[in-house]
Amino acid sequence: MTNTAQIVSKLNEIVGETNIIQDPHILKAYALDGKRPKMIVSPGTMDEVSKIVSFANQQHLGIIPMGNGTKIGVGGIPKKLDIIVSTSRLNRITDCDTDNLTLSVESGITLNEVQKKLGRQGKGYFLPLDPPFTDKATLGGIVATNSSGPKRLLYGTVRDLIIGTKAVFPNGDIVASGGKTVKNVSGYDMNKLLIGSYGTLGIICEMTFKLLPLPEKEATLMVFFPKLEDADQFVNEVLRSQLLPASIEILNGMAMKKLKYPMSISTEENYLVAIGLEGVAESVDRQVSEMGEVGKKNGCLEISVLNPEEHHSFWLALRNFYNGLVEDNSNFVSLKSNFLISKYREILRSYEKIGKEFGMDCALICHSGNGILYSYVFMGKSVRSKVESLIELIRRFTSEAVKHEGNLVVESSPLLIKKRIDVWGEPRSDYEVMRRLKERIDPAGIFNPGRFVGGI
Amino acid sequence: MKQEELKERFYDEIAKCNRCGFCLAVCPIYAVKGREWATPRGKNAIIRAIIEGKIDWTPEIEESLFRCTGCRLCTQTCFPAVETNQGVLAARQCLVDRSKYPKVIHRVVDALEKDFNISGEPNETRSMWMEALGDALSKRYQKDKARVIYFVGCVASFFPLAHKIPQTFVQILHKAKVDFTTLGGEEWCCGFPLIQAGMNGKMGKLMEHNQEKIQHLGAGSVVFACPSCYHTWKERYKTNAELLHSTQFIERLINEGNIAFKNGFHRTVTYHDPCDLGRNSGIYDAPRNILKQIPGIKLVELENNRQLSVCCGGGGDLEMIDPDLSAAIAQRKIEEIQGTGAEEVITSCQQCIRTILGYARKHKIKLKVRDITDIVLEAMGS
Amino acid sequence: MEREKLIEELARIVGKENILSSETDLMLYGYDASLFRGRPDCIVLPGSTEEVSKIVKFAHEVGIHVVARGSGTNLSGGTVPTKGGILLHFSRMNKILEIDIENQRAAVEPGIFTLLLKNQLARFGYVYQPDPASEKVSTLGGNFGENSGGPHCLKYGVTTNHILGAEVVLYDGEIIQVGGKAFDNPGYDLTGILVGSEGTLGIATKLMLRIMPKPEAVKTMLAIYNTLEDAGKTVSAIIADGIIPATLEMLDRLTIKAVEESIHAGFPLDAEAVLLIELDGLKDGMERLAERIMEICRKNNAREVKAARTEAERAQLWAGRKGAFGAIARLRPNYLVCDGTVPRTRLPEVLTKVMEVGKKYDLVIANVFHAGDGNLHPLILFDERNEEELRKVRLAGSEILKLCAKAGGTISGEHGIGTEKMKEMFLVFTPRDVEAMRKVKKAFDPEDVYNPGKVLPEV
Repeated sequence: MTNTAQIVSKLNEIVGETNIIQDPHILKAYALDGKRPKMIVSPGTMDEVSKIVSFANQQHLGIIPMGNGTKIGVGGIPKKLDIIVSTSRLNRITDCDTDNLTLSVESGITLNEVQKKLGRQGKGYFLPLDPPFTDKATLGGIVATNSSGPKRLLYGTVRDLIIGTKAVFPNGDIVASGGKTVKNVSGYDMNKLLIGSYGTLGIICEMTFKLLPLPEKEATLMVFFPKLEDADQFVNEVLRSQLLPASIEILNGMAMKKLKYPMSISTEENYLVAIGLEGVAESVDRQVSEMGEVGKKNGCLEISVLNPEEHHSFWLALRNFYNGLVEDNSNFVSLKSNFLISKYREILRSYEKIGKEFGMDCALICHSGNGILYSYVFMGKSVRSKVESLIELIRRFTSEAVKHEGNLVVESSPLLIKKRIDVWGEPRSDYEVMRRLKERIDPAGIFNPGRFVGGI
Repeated sequence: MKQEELKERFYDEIAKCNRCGFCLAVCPIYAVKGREWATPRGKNAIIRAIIEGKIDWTPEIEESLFRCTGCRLCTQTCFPAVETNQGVLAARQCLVDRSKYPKVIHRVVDALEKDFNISGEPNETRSMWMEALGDALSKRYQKDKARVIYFVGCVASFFPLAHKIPQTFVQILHKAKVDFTTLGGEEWCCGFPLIQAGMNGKMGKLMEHNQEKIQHLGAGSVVFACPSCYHTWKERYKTNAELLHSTQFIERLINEGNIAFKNGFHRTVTYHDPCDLGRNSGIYDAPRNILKQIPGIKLVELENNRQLSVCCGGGGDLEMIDPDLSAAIAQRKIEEIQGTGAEEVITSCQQCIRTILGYARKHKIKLKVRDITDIVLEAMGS
Repeated sequence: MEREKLIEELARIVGKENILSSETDLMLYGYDASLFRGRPDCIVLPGSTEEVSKIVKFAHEVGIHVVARGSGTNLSGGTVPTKGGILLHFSRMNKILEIDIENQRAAVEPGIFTLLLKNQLARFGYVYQPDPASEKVSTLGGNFGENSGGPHCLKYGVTTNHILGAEVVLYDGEIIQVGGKAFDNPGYDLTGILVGSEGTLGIATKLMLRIMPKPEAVKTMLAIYNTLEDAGKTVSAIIADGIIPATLEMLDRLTIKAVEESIHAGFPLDAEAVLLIELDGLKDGMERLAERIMEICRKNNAREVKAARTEAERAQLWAGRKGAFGAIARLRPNYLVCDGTVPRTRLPEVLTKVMEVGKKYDLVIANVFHAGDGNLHPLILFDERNEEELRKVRLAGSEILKLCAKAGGTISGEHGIGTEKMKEMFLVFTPRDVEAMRKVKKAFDPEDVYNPGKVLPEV
């Protein structure tokens, strides 16, 4: 067993002293579920990543890759944590080819920075991704966690946008998959394995995305309903039509209350359906008007179209919802449920009911056209006293989602809870194959060990 | 046919098959059987392997090559339009040479040798269908000389399910004041079943006789209600007479003002294009033009119509060789017909009528299947 | 194992009537739409997932390979059993299991013709977006194995973007569910790695598809050019203008001539390129976008630009494109469809190089391509019976792949690697890349039961 000094010495050779952090205060801040890394390493090239990983593989050191850490807490308690490999220095745009609508970037660059640069090219382009943690999330992290936002309704998610990756595999190999072309069936689609793999199969160093030209026009329609049933009718009518909204988000009263955005009506007991529209100018106008009619027909309390400033603030606030809660010093767990698209109303209702039963407020934000729901359950002042109820609540929430062919992931929770539950929800019949994949690709078990589904 | 001749005449044609497989989407045999031997591509591969000496004539080859209705949907869909059925018919001749053919076809072949018809009954009984029309009328339709000859065909003559066609058609011709005659017992089979059986050699006698009869009667036109007779005459017979299908003839009579529709026909119908009339002879408009003129009729086209019309399963001697397969194809046709929601299906082929109506009756399916002549006569009124 | 014994065992599972093993059948199942030949040990037509599972379990136990086949329209030899084995023909498992409008999903058995499913969906006003050219005969199982494309890819993505789950039989007969009706199931995207794995990782016995309401409006335009370069520039200009059409197809001079001579689509015989463009979506603003596109065409020297005003006119504009393969196929007995993809902007230059390859080998090459996503299909014309020509065709095909790879593209856009392009894999991948894929193969199928000798070359 190599000691820390020996590890540092080897890493020094690879990245240089200035790119290794060993300051105990910093290491404490980067602790995950109580486990502290021995060091944080910031390689500057893919080659350096490869060398680091090769070494760690030989020495059986536990590595956790990290961007800006916005979702580093998602997952089980680490089995082993020796080195955090930070992608912060891998932050270049390697190929911005707007003529071909492709963009290649290194994994440490933030989505924000990329969008800014793209917006200034030619007539303006963008990556149709709007996940949370807007200013800090790195593209590598977004891809590794398969993060998405409201616009997935129209544009899809990372798996619909990535056409190529270069990753360092656990044995140090640099592995490329896909390429620069939209259509590519050469060999296996390894990109798909890496997406959402939470750093357990490879450290993504470079990615190639499909781009889109910026839409001509954007608009937001805010439709408030007194009853969930009416909101549901409205949403279903829109989903069944040939209209093409970019996002349809449903927020319950608690979500509206906690959102850092002023609501025009009372948030108690009401529901907000926020519709994002973008595209050809005439089609945006038509949809605003038509959806307005549908809203009125279904008994909405109020409809308003946001002005450009409000439009920008609202969606930003929504994307930063989690950060807003942290700012408020709330004690909460955040859960992500997935289920059949048509069942969001049932799930919303049952979650509200269960929340009431256990005396805990729930802020619920639903991608109502995709069958995805984010629940933020508030524990109040004392976490310890709520642990048992929370565990039971999570169990009940999970069972509801499973009933509708889905599952539930506990994205963030206090260590007390994590110790008692499997944050990845109910195991499925394909977990054995996933384990086999992990074993073949990472036989030494060095990448993010113990933190993924099925104990991977 | 000898194998060398098969190579000489068909190797280049078969070689055009790129095995793209698009024929699998439309072949009625594959739709039922789901196996590669049942596909046009498979048949081409078999014939090619024979030509190239890569395979011997196996029982499976016999099974595959004798299961084809000759509908030519494959050729219609095929990029280079490989005439698979031509190769199949030629290969059948090779199989016959080697005595590797379904012996059941002797039922028909022997009848043709002996009685010049497919039923095995004395050929004079061809006029049996006239009896229903009454004595006086039957004499009316057998003259010594006439401008037009109505060549009835074996199916219409000998199968009760199809008798209505000649019974109706002659009434139409009579009402339209056409100078016509049938050949009665002097009509010999056109030879189509022999081609399907791979026994073209036996056709000569039949053709000579029929051609001579036409010449002797000095007729200017020969009209057929059977698309297969029509197609066979068009492809192989030598005659100066004009050859027409009943639908073309009726269309002409309408245009000349000799047919008028006093009654309407107030029903929703669909029309099935018989393979030998539509795809194989190119006649799609005549029947539709007739229907268009009938007051009150509403035509709903089948999803697959005209060149894309799906075979009913009645062709290629398949009914005789593999009645279950033929019936299964008919079932699919009926499902397609029912899908239109039409009250009746109209067609212009006696074999299609027999196949579709036969299946419907056997399985107690409520489906009205009628020949276009039937509709025309009804709409003409008394 | 003796063939007799093999058939006896399999007959216990599917019944003797669903097994084929004659010389004739072994020959017939030894080809697909590619130039390759193989020979299975026998052919089985399964009727259910359980039967597939039992067959595979048995095959694994006795050490026999298993190869899956839909309609056998594979263009790279993916369905050719090059190492013997049990060939599973899925023609009997061809039903639509469920159309679930409210959850935007359809469940099907793998043997169904893709177009049949789409026609059923059309009755509800819904679509399954992928539209491979072979859709009327290729099966969804086949599309799954190849990750098939089609003209709509530019806007809507390929098969993998529209298959969200499957029931899969693994190498030892185990049945697992990957993905499902809901999005975002936690864990690895096994559906994603299976789609496009060409039957080497697992056999899908049920597929869960993503469906959506059909677009409200469609606008089709055709532009005729005197140079390929102008057509290519138009494609880039349309996209640079911020418009993403649903379809952007191009035909080259030889193709145009062949089409005109066979179906008279209204193309001038001396045109060098034809561009077929289609927009879809909401009708609002579509006329304006169409006008913008036509203006771009004119700006890039289009000698004629037409727009369809009715469904009939639309069919007419498409007729030329749809008749292209047919027209070309009439020129010589056989054609080889190549399948390379390059970044869109490199298309005109790559095309010139493709024509040079044709000259080098004295072979006629016509081109049809999905200009929108850079996927080109050079059609090399020849007579398969001429061994010398066949040899040259294979060399020419390989060279075309080389130049696609050199242009920053890849060696297969839609048709898969199969057995045809295994050696060319090293044009775009390093041995390390292939080794990584091999690990995936070993995880799914450690004993190489499934479709051996395909996709992954030896390192």
